[in-house]
Amino acid sequence: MQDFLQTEEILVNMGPQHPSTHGVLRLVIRTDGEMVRETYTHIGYLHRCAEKIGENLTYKQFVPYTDRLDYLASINNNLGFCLAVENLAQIEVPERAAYLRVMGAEMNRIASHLVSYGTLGMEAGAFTPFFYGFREREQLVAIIEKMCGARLTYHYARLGGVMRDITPEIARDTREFVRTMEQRWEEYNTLLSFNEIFIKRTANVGIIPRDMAIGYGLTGPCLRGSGVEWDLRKDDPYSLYERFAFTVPYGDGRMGTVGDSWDRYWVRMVEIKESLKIITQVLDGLPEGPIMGKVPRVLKLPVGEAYMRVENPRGELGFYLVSDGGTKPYRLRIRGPSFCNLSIMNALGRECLVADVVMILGSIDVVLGEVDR
Amino acid sequence: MRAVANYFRDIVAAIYTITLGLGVTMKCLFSKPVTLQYPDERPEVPDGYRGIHTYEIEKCIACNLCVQICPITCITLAYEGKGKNAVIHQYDIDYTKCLFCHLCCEVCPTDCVHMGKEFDLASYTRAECVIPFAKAAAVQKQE
Repeated sequence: MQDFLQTEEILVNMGPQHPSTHGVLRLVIRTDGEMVRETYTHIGYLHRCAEKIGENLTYKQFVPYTDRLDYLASINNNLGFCLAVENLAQIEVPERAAYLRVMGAEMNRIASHLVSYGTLGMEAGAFTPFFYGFREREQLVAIIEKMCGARLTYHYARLGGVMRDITPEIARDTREFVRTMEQRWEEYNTLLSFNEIFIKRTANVGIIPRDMAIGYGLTGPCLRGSGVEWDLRKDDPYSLYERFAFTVPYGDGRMGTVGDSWDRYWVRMVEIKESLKIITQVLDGLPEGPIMGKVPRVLKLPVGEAYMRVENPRGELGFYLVSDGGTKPYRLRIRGPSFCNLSIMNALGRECLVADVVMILGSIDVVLGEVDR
Repeated sequence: MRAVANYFRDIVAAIYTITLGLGVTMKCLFSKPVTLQYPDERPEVPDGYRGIHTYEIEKCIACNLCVQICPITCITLAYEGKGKNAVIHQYDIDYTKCLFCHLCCEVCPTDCVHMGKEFDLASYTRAECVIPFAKAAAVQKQE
Protein backbone atom coordinates (compact mmCIF):
# COMPACT_ATOMS: atom_id res chain seq x y z
CA MET A 1 0.00 0.00 0.00
CA GLN A 2 2.78 2.41 0.97
CA ASP A 3 4.74 1.73 -2.23
CA PHE A 4 1.63 2.32 -4.21
CA LEU A 5 0.78 5.66 -2.58
CA GLN A 6 4.38 6.95 -2.54
CA THR A 7 3.95 8.91 0.70
CA GLU A 8 6.77 11.00 2.04
CA GLU A 9 7.52 13.00 5.14
CA ILE A 10 7.25 16.75 4.88
CA LEU A 11 9.23 19.40 6.80
CA VAL A 12 6.89 22.11 8.01
CA ASN A 13 7.99 25.45 9.46
CA MET A 14 5.90 26.59 12.38
CA GLY A 15 6.95 30.13 13.12
CA PRO A 16 8.77 32.44 13.61
CA GLN A 17 5.56 34.36 13.10
CA HIS A 18 3.05 31.75 14.11
CA PRO A 19 0.34 32.76 16.60
CA SER A 20 0.90 29.65 18.70
CA THR A 21 4.61 30.08 19.26
CA HIS A 22 4.42 32.70 22.05
CA GLY A 23 6.82 34.99 20.24
CA VAL A 24 9.45 34.62 17.58
CA LEU A 25 10.17 30.93 17.95
CA ARG A 26 10.56 28.69 14.92
CA LEU A 27 9.69 25.02 15.15
CA VAL A 28 10.67 22.80 12.25
CA ILE A 29 8.38 19.80 12.30
CA ARG A 30 8.92 16.62 10.29
CA THR A 31 5.41 15.42 9.64
CA ASP A 32 3.97 12.23 8.27
CA GLY A 33 0.43 13.26 7.51
CA GLU A 34 -1.01 14.50 10.80
CA MET A 35 1.67 12.72 12.84
CA VAL A 36 4.75 14.61 13.98
CA ARG A 37 7.88 12.50 13.74
CA GLU A 38 10.36 15.07 15.02
CA THR A 39 10.45 18.67 16.21
CA TYR A 40 13.46 20.94 16.06
CA THR A 41 13.52 24.25 17.89
CA HIS A 42 15.22 27.24 16.32
CA ILE A 43 15.81 30.19 18.58
CA GLY A 44 17.71 33.46 18.40
CA TYR A 45 15.27 35.75 16.59
CA LEU A 46 15.06 38.04 19.61
CA HIS A 47 18.70 37.99 20.67
CA ARG A 48 19.74 41.39 22.04
CA CYS A 49 23.07 40.62 23.78
CA ALA A 50 21.56 41.43 27.17
CA GLU A 51 24.52 39.93 29.02
CA LYS A 52 27.07 41.91 27.04
CA ILE A 53 25.03 45.09 27.41
CA GLY A 54 25.08 44.44 31.16
CA GLU A 55 28.87 44.34 31.15
CA ASN A 56 28.97 47.82 29.60
CA LEU A 57 26.50 49.48 31.96
CA THR A 58 26.64 50.35 35.62
CA TYR A 59 24.62 48.21 38.03
CA LYS A 60 21.89 50.82 38.38
CA GLN A 61 21.58 51.21 34.64
CA PHE A 62 21.13 47.51 33.97
CA VAL A 63 18.04 47.11 36.19
CA PRO A 64 15.61 48.47 33.53
CA TYR A 65 17.15 46.04 31.03
CA THR A 66 16.14 43.10 33.20
CA ASP A 67 12.51 44.17 32.64
CA ARG A 68 12.94 43.11 29.07
CA LEU A 69 14.11 39.55 29.72
CA ASP A 70 10.86 37.91 30.70
CA TYR A 71 8.64 40.84 29.92
CA LEU A 72 5.61 39.22 31.54
CA ALA A 73 7.38 39.09 34.91
CA SER A 74 9.41 42.28 35.09
CA ILE A 75 9.35 42.74 38.86
CA ASN A 76 10.61 39.20 39.42
CA ASN A 77 13.52 39.89 37.06
CA ASN A 78 14.34 43.21 38.76
CA LEU A 79 14.28 41.44 42.09
CA GLY A 80 16.72 38.73 40.97
CA PHE A 81 19.29 41.19 39.67
CA CYS A 82 18.95 43.57 42.61
CA LEU A 83 19.40 40.71 45.10
CA ALA A 84 22.55 39.56 43.30
CA VAL A 85 24.07 43.04 43.43
CA GLU A 86 22.93 43.61 47.02
CA ASN A 87 24.49 40.30 48.06
CA LEU A 88 27.84 41.28 46.65
CA ALA A 89 27.73 44.91 47.77
CA GLN A 90 26.38 44.06 51.25
CA ILE A 91 23.52 46.52 50.86
CA GLU A 92 20.83 46.13 53.47
CA VAL A 93 17.25 46.29 52.27
CA PRO A 94 14.65 47.73 54.68
CA GLU A 95 11.94 45.34 55.78
CA ARG A 96 9.13 47.35 54.23
CA ALA A 97 10.91 47.35 50.88
CA ALA A 98 11.37 43.57 51.05
CA TYR A 99 7.64 43.15 51.75
CA LEU A 100 6.72 45.44 48.86
CA ARG A 101 9.07 43.51 46.59
CA VAL A 102 7.31 40.27 47.52
CA MET A 103 3.94 41.88 46.86
CA GLY A 104 5.07 43.18 43.49
CA ALA A 105 6.60 39.85 42.54
CA GLU A 106 3.45 37.93 43.44
CA MET A 107 1.21 40.38 41.59
CA ASN A 108 3.43 39.96 38.60
CA ARG A 109 3.27 36.17 38.96
CA ILE A 110 -0.51 36.30 38.82
CA ALA A 111 -0.43 38.63 35.81
CA SER A 112 1.96 36.25 34.06
CA HIS A 113 -0.09 33.14 34.84
CA LEU A 114 -3.23 34.89 33.61
CA VAL A 115 -1.57 35.38 30.23
CA SER A 116 -0.54 31.73 30.27
CA TYR A 117 -4.11 30.71 31.11
CA GLY A 118 -5.58 32.80 28.31
CA THR A 119 -3.12 31.75 25.64
CA LEU A 120 -3.29 28.06 26.49
CA GLY A 121 -7.06 28.21 26.19
CA MET A 122 -6.73 29.97 22.86
CA GLU A 123 -4.32 27.33 21.61
CA ALA A 124 -6.86 24.68 22.51
CA GLY A 125 -9.39 26.55 20.37
CA ALA A 126 -11.25 28.37 23.13
CA PHE A 127 -11.15 32.11 22.63
CA THR A 128 -13.19 33.13 25.68
CA PRO A 129 -10.56 32.39 28.41
CA PHE A 130 -8.19 34.82 26.72
CA PHE A 131 -10.59 37.71 27.25
CA TYR A 132 -11.44 36.64 30.78
CA GLY A 133 -7.77 36.28 31.72
CA PHE A 134 -6.96 39.68 30.29
CA ARG A 135 -9.91 41.31 32.03
CA GLU A 136 -8.47 40.44 35.45
CA ARG A 137 -4.95 41.16 34.24
CA GLU A 138 -6.05 44.64 33.28
CA GLN A 139 -7.31 45.25 36.82
CA LEU A 140 -3.98 44.05 38.18
CA VAL A 141 -1.89 46.04 35.71
CA ALA A 142 -3.86 49.17 36.65
CA ILE A 143 -2.81 48.65 40.28
CA ILE A 144 0.85 48.12 39.35
CA GLU A 145 0.58 51.18 37.11
CA LYS A 146 -0.34 53.22 40.17
CA MET A 147 2.55 51.66 42.08
CA CYS A 148 5.31 52.39 39.58
CA GLY A 149 3.86 54.25 36.61
CA ALA A 150 4.36 51.63 33.93
CA ARG A 151 2.20 48.91 32.48
CA LEU A 152 4.69 46.29 31.32
CA THR A 153 8.31 47.20 32.00
CA TYR A 154 7.84 48.06 35.64
CA HIS A 155 11.37 48.73 36.93
CA TYR A 156 9.88 48.60 40.42
CA ALA A 157 12.51 46.82 42.50
CA ARG A 158 15.60 48.99 42.69
CA LEU A 159 19.05 48.46 44.14
CA GLY A 160 18.49 48.88 47.87
CA GLY A 161 14.71 48.90 47.90
CA VAL A 162 11.74 49.74 45.74
CA MET A 163 10.80 52.68 43.56
CA ARG A 164 7.77 54.03 45.41
CA ASP A 165 5.78 53.29 48.49
CA ILE A 166 2.20 52.13 48.19
CA THR A 167 -0.65 54.45 49.05
CA PRO A 168 -3.76 53.46 51.03
CA GLU A 169 -5.64 53.62 47.73
CA ILE A 170 -3.37 50.98 46.18
CA ALA A 171 -3.76 48.77 49.25
CA ARG A 172 -7.53 49.08 49.00
CA ASP A 173 -7.53 48.32 45.27
CA THR A 174 -5.30 45.31 45.83
CA ARG A 175 -7.58 43.88 48.50
CA GLU A 176 -10.51 44.36 46.18
CA PHE A 177 -8.61 42.60 43.41
CA VAL A 178 -7.86 39.65 45.71
CA ARG A 179 -11.57 39.34 46.48
CA THR A 180 -12.59 39.55 42.81
CA MET A 181 -9.88 37.15 41.71
CA GLU A 182 -10.94 34.49 44.20
CA GLN A 183 -14.41 34.48 42.66
CA ARG A 184 -13.12 34.60 39.11
CA TRP A 185 -10.80 31.68 39.80
CA GLU A 186 -13.80 29.41 40.17
CA GLU A 187 -15.23 30.77 36.94
CA TYR A 188 -11.96 30.09 35.15
CA ASN A 189 -12.12 26.47 36.19
CA THR A 190 -15.68 26.13 34.95
CA LEU A 191 -14.72 27.75 31.68
CA LEU A 192 -11.51 25.92 30.92
CA SER A 193 -9.86 23.71 33.55
CA PHE A 194 -12.65 21.15 33.84
CA ASN A 195 -13.97 21.48 30.32
CA GLU A 196 -14.05 17.97 28.88
CA ILE A 197 -12.63 19.01 25.51
CA PHE A 198 -9.76 20.88 27.15
CA ILE A 199 -9.01 17.90 29.38
CA LYS A 200 -8.96 15.60 26.34
CA ARG A 201 -6.55 17.98 24.62
CA THR A 202 -4.12 18.30 27.53
CA ALA A 203 -4.35 15.19 29.73
CA ASN A 204 -1.83 12.48 28.74
CA VAL A 205 -0.27 14.89 26.24
CA GLY A 206 3.40 15.84 26.51
CA ILE A 207 4.13 13.72 29.55
CA ILE A 208 7.37 14.65 31.34
CA PRO A 209 8.33 11.95 33.84
CA ARG A 210 9.96 13.07 37.07
CA ASP A 211 13.50 11.93 36.14
CA MET A 212 13.29 13.50 32.71
CA ALA A 213 12.18 16.82 34.19
CA ILE A 214 15.14 16.84 36.56
CA GLY A 215 17.50 15.64 33.82
CA TYR A 216 16.57 18.46 31.48
CA GLY A 217 16.98 21.05 34.24
CA LEU A 218 13.36 22.12 34.16
CA THR A 219 12.20 24.50 36.84
CA GLY A 220 9.05 26.24 37.88
CA PRO A 221 5.58 24.89 37.04
CA CYS A 222 7.08 22.52 34.44
CA LEU A 223 9.11 20.77 37.15
CA ARG A 224 6.38 20.89 39.75
CA GLY A 225 3.90 19.57 37.20
CA SER A 226 6.00 16.42 37.09
CA GLY A 227 5.48 15.92 40.80
CA VAL A 228 8.77 17.37 42.06
CA GLU A 229 8.34 19.62 45.07
CA TRP A 230 10.90 22.32 44.40
CA ASP A 231 10.14 25.96 44.85
CA LEU A 232 12.88 28.43 45.72
CA ARG A 233 10.46 30.51 47.72
CA LYS A 234 10.25 27.56 50.14
CA ASP A 235 13.53 25.73 49.61
CA ASP A 236 15.91 28.68 49.40
CA PRO A 237 13.90 31.68 50.62
CA TYR A 238 14.89 35.18 49.62
CA SER A 239 13.43 38.61 50.34
CA LEU A 240 11.69 37.40 53.55
CA TYR A 241 9.58 34.77 51.76
CA GLU A 242 10.03 32.51 54.79
CA ARG A 243 7.61 34.72 56.72
CA PHE A 244 4.64 33.97 54.51
CA ALA A 245 2.47 30.88 54.70
CA PHE A 246 1.60 29.25 51.40
CA THR A 247 1.62 25.80 49.87
CA VAL A 248 3.48 24.75 46.76
CA PRO A 249 1.26 22.94 44.29
CA TYR A 250 2.59 20.03 42.27
CA GLY A 251 1.21 17.67 39.65
CA ASP A 252 -0.53 14.50 40.79
CA GLY A 253 -1.88 13.12 37.53
CA ARG A 254 -5.44 14.03 38.41
CA MET A 255 -6.73 13.94 34.84
CA GLY A 256 -4.26 11.50 33.31
CA THR A 257 -0.61 10.88 33.99
CA VAL A 258 1.71 12.77 36.33
CA GLY A 259 3.63 15.39 34.34
CA ASP A 260 1.18 15.85 31.49
CA SER A 261 0.16 19.21 30.04
CA TRP A 262 -2.92 19.43 32.26
CA ASP A 263 -0.79 19.04 35.39
CA ARG A 264 1.48 21.88 34.35
CA TYR A 265 -1.54 24.02 33.61
CA TRP A 266 -3.13 23.16 36.95
CA VAL A 267 0.03 24.00 38.90
CA ARG A 268 -0.15 27.52 37.42
CA MET A 269 -3.80 27.86 38.31
CA VAL A 270 -3.23 26.84 41.92
CA GLU A 271 -0.21 29.14 42.10
CA ILE A 272 -2.50 32.06 41.30
CA LYS A 273 -4.50 31.22 44.41
CA GLU A 274 -1.40 30.83 46.56
CA SER A 275 -0.05 34.17 45.33
CA LEU A 276 -3.31 35.82 46.38
CA LYS A 277 -2.72 34.43 49.88
CA ILE A 278 0.80 35.90 49.96
CA ILE A 279 -0.44 39.31 48.78
CA THR A 280 -3.04 39.38 51.56
CA GLN A 281 -0.38 38.48 54.14
CA VAL A 282 1.91 41.22 52.85
CA LEU A 283 -0.85 43.81 53.14
CA ASP A 284 -1.79 42.61 56.62
CA GLY A 285 1.73 42.61 57.99
CA LEU A 286 3.34 45.47 56.09
CA PRO A 287 5.84 47.02 58.52
CA GLU A 288 6.43 50.76 58.71
CA GLY A 289 9.77 52.20 57.74
CA PRO A 290 11.86 53.41 54.85
CA ILE A 291 11.60 51.84 51.39
CA MET A 292 15.17 52.47 50.35
CA GLY A 293 18.41 51.32 51.92
CA LYS A 294 21.71 53.18 51.82
CA VAL A 295 23.08 52.90 48.31
CA PRO A 296 26.15 54.96 47.37
CA ARG A 297 25.68 57.31 44.44
CA VAL A 298 28.56 55.71 42.58
CA LEU A 299 28.19 52.02 43.29
CA LYS A 300 31.45 50.10 43.20
CA LEU A 301 31.21 46.42 44.05
CA PRO A 302 34.02 44.63 45.86
CA VAL A 303 36.06 42.12 43.89
CA GLY A 304 34.23 38.81 43.92
CA GLU A 305 31.34 36.91 42.50
CA ALA A 306 27.72 36.29 43.41
CA TYR A 307 24.97 34.04 42.16
CA MET A 308 21.39 34.76 43.03
CA ARG A 309 18.37 32.80 41.93
CA VAL A 310 14.73 33.65 42.29
CA GLU A 311 11.52 31.80 41.56
CA ASN A 312 10.02 33.42 38.50
CA PRO A 313 6.58 32.48 37.16
CA ARG A 314 8.42 30.33 34.62
CA GLY A 315 11.05 28.87 36.91
CA GLU A 316 14.43 29.59 38.34
CA LEU A 317 15.98 32.82 37.12
CA GLY A 318 19.64 33.14 38.05
CA PHE A 319 22.07 36.04 37.84
CA TYR A 320 25.77 35.30 38.06
CA LEU A 321 27.87 38.40 38.64
CA VAL A 322 31.62 38.73 38.62
CA SER A 323 33.01 42.03 39.80
CA ASP A 324 36.54 43.31 39.34
CA GLY A 325 36.02 46.16 41.76
CA GLY A 326 34.73 48.63 39.18
CA THR A 327 31.40 50.30 38.59
CA LYS A 328 30.41 47.76 35.94
CA PRO A 329 30.23 43.97 36.17
CA TYR A 330 33.22 42.13 34.71
CA ARG A 331 30.95 39.30 33.67
CA LEU A 332 27.20 38.90 33.85
CA ARG A 333 25.50 35.61 33.10
CA ILE A 334 21.76 35.09 33.13
CA ARG A 335 20.21 31.68 33.62
CA GLY A 336 16.81 31.94 32.01
CA PRO A 337 14.15 29.41 32.99
CA SER A 338 12.36 29.58 29.62
CA PHE A 339 15.56 28.63 27.78
CA CYS A 340 16.08 25.49 29.87
CA ASN A 341 12.40 24.58 29.78
CA LEU A 342 12.29 24.92 26.02
CA SER A 343 15.16 22.43 25.64
CA ILE A 344 12.72 19.60 26.36
CA MET A 345 10.62 20.53 23.31
CA ASN A 346 12.66 18.37 20.92
CA ALA A 347 12.15 15.33 23.14
CA LEU A 348 8.42 15.91 23.69
CA GLY A 349 7.47 16.88 20.17
CA ARG A 350 7.77 13.45 18.58
CA GLU A 351 5.27 10.77 17.68
CA CYS A 352 2.36 13.04 18.47
CA LEU A 353 -0.22 15.03 16.53
CA VAL A 354 0.46 18.50 15.11
CA ALA A 355 -2.21 19.93 17.40
CA ASP A 356 -0.43 18.33 20.39
CA VAL A 357 2.80 20.19 19.60
CA VAL A 358 0.89 23.44 20.05
CA MET A 359 -0.53 22.28 23.38
CA ILE A 360 2.86 21.06 24.62
CA LEU A 361 4.50 24.36 23.74
CA GLY A 362 1.65 26.25 25.39
CA SER A 363 1.90 24.17 28.56
CA ILE A 364 5.68 24.74 28.81
CA ASP A 365 4.84 28.48 28.55
CA VAL A 366 7.99 30.12 27.29
CA VAL A 367 8.71 33.81 26.81
CA LEU A 368 11.07 34.32 23.92
CA GLY A 369 12.48 37.54 25.34
CA GLU A 370 14.13 35.42 27.98
CA VAL A 371 15.03 32.43 25.78
CA ASP A 372 17.08 34.60 23.42
CA ARG A 373 18.06 37.38 25.83
CA MET B 1 -18.96 -2.13 23.35
CA ARG B 2 -17.13 -0.29 26.08
CA ALA B 3 -15.40 1.92 23.51
CA VAL B 4 -18.77 2.93 22.09
CA ALA B 5 -20.09 3.70 25.58
CA ASN B 6 -17.00 5.79 26.31
CA TYR B 7 -17.45 7.64 23.05
CA PHE B 8 -20.98 8.69 23.93
CA ARG B 9 -20.02 9.42 27.54
CA ASP B 10 -17.33 11.81 26.31
CA ILE B 11 -19.80 13.61 24.06
CA VAL B 12 -22.28 14.02 26.91
CA ALA B 13 -19.53 15.23 29.26
CA ALA B 14 -18.30 17.71 26.65
CA ILE B 15 -21.79 19.12 26.08
CA TYR B 16 -22.42 19.34 29.82
CA THR B 17 -19.14 21.17 30.60
CA ILE B 18 -19.60 23.52 27.65
CA THR B 19 -23.06 24.39 28.95
CA LEU B 20 -21.53 25.20 32.34
CA GLY B 21 -18.97 27.43 30.61
CA LEU B 22 -21.68 29.13 28.59
CA GLY B 23 -23.45 29.88 31.87
CA VAL B 24 -20.40 31.92 32.91
CA THR B 25 -20.33 33.80 29.62
CA MET B 26 -24.07 34.43 29.78
CA LYS B 27 -23.62 36.13 33.15
CA CYS B 28 -21.07 38.47 31.59
CA LEU B 29 -23.27 39.15 28.59
CA PHE B 30 -25.56 41.28 30.72
CA SER B 31 -22.87 43.11 32.68
CA LYS B 32 -21.15 46.39 31.83
CA PRO B 33 -18.44 46.08 29.18
CA VAL B 34 -14.89 46.47 30.47
CA THR B 35 -13.32 47.47 27.16
CA LEU B 36 -12.59 51.06 26.12
CA GLN B 37 -13.20 52.25 22.58
CA TYR B 38 -9.64 53.52 22.58
CA PRO B 39 -9.15 56.45 20.22
CA ASP B 40 -12.56 57.87 21.15
CA GLU B 41 -12.38 57.04 24.84
CA ARG B 42 -9.07 57.73 26.54
CA PRO B 43 -8.01 55.70 29.56
CA GLU B 44 -7.55 57.45 32.88
CA VAL B 45 -3.84 57.78 33.52
CA PRO B 46 -2.84 57.69 37.21
CA ASP B 47 -0.54 60.20 38.89
CA GLY B 48 3.10 59.23 38.66
CA TYR B 49 2.67 57.64 35.26
CA ARG B 50 5.90 57.22 33.31
CA GLY B 51 5.01 58.77 29.97
CA ILE B 52 6.64 61.40 27.80
CA HIS B 53 8.80 63.78 29.85
CA THR B 54 8.07 67.33 30.91
CA TYR B 55 11.05 69.63 31.27
CA GLU B 56 11.39 72.85 33.23
CA ILE B 57 14.21 74.71 31.52
CA GLU B 58 14.41 77.53 34.06
CA LYS B 59 15.23 75.05 36.86
CA CYS B 60 17.88 73.14 34.89
CA ILE B 61 21.50 73.72 35.97
CA ALA B 62 23.01 71.65 33.14
CA CYS B 63 24.69 69.23 35.56
CA ASN B 64 24.66 66.47 32.94
CA LEU B 65 23.61 63.82 35.50
CA CYS B 66 20.55 62.71 33.51
CA VAL B 67 22.69 62.26 30.41
CA GLN B 68 25.17 60.16 32.35
CA ILE B 69 22.64 57.93 34.11
CA CYS B 70 20.58 57.21 30.97
CA PRO B 71 21.19 53.53 30.15
CA ILE B 72 20.65 54.06 26.45
CA THR B 73 22.04 57.61 26.02
CA CYS B 74 18.88 59.00 24.50
CA ILE B 75 19.27 62.49 26.03
CA THR B 76 21.30 65.15 24.21
CA LEU B 77 22.19 68.22 26.21
CA ALA B 78 24.04 71.29 24.85
CA TYR B 79 24.67 74.33 27.04
CA GLU B 80 26.89 77.29 27.80
CA GLY B 81 27.97 78.33 31.27
CA LYS B 82 27.48 76.42 34.50
CA GLY B 83 25.09 76.12 37.39
CA LYS B 84 22.21 78.58 37.65
CA ASN B 85 23.71 80.79 34.91
CA ALA B 86 23.75 77.98 32.38
CA VAL B 87 22.08 78.69 29.04
CA ILE B 88 20.54 75.53 27.61
CA HIS B 89 20.61 75.38 23.82
CA GLN B 90 19.47 71.83 23.35
CA TYR B 91 17.69 69.25 25.46
CA ASP B 92 16.49 66.48 23.17
CA ILE B 93 15.10 63.11 24.17
CA ASP B 94 14.99 60.41 21.51
CA TYR B 95 11.83 58.41 22.11
CA THR B 96 12.80 55.71 19.62
CA LYS B 97 15.40 54.72 22.22
CA CYS B 98 13.94 55.79 25.57
CA LEU B 99 13.29 52.94 28.04
CA PHE B 100 10.95 55.01 30.25
CA CYS B 101 12.97 53.82 33.24
CA HIS B 102 12.60 57.05 35.25
CA LEU B 103 16.30 57.10 36.21
CA CYS B 104 16.82 60.58 34.70
CA CYS B 105 14.07 62.05 36.86
CA GLU B 106 15.35 60.41 40.04
CA VAL B 107 18.91 61.61 39.62
CA CYS B 108 17.98 65.25 38.87
CA PRO B 109 19.16 67.51 41.76
CA THR B 110 16.83 70.40 40.89
CA ASP B 111 13.83 68.25 39.97
CA CYS B 112 13.53 69.83 36.53
CA VAL B 113 12.73 66.75 34.47
CA HIS B 114 9.60 64.72 35.17
CA MET B 115 7.65 62.03 33.42
CA GLY B 116 4.23 63.14 32.26
CA LYS B 117 0.96 61.48 31.45
CA GLU B 118 1.22 61.57 27.68
CA PHE B 119 1.74 58.12 26.18
CA ASP B 120 0.79 58.55 22.54
CA LEU B 121 4.08 58.07 20.72
CA ALA B 122 2.98 57.30 17.18
CA SER B 123 4.50 59.48 14.48
CA TYR B 124 5.18 59.26 10.76
CA THR B 125 8.93 59.82 10.80
CA ARG B 126 11.80 58.98 13.11
CA ALA B 127 12.72 62.65 13.39
CA GLU B 128 9.34 63.37 14.96
CA CYS B 129 10.17 60.90 17.73
CA VAL B 130 12.96 63.16 18.97
CA ILE B 131 11.42 65.87 21.10
CA PRO B 132 13.48 69.12 21.40
CA PHE B 133 12.41 70.29 24.85
CA ALA B 134 14.73 73.32 25.00
CA LYS B 135 13.50 74.64 21.66
CA ALA B 136 9.88 74.11 22.65
CA ALA B 137 10.51 76.08 25.86
CA ALA B 138 12.13 78.92 23.87
CA VAL B 139 9.17 79.06 21.50
CA GLN B 140 6.78 79.11 24.43
CA LYS B 141 8.72 81.99 26.02
CA GLN B 142 8.59 84.05 22.82
CA GLU B 143 4.85 83.60 22.59
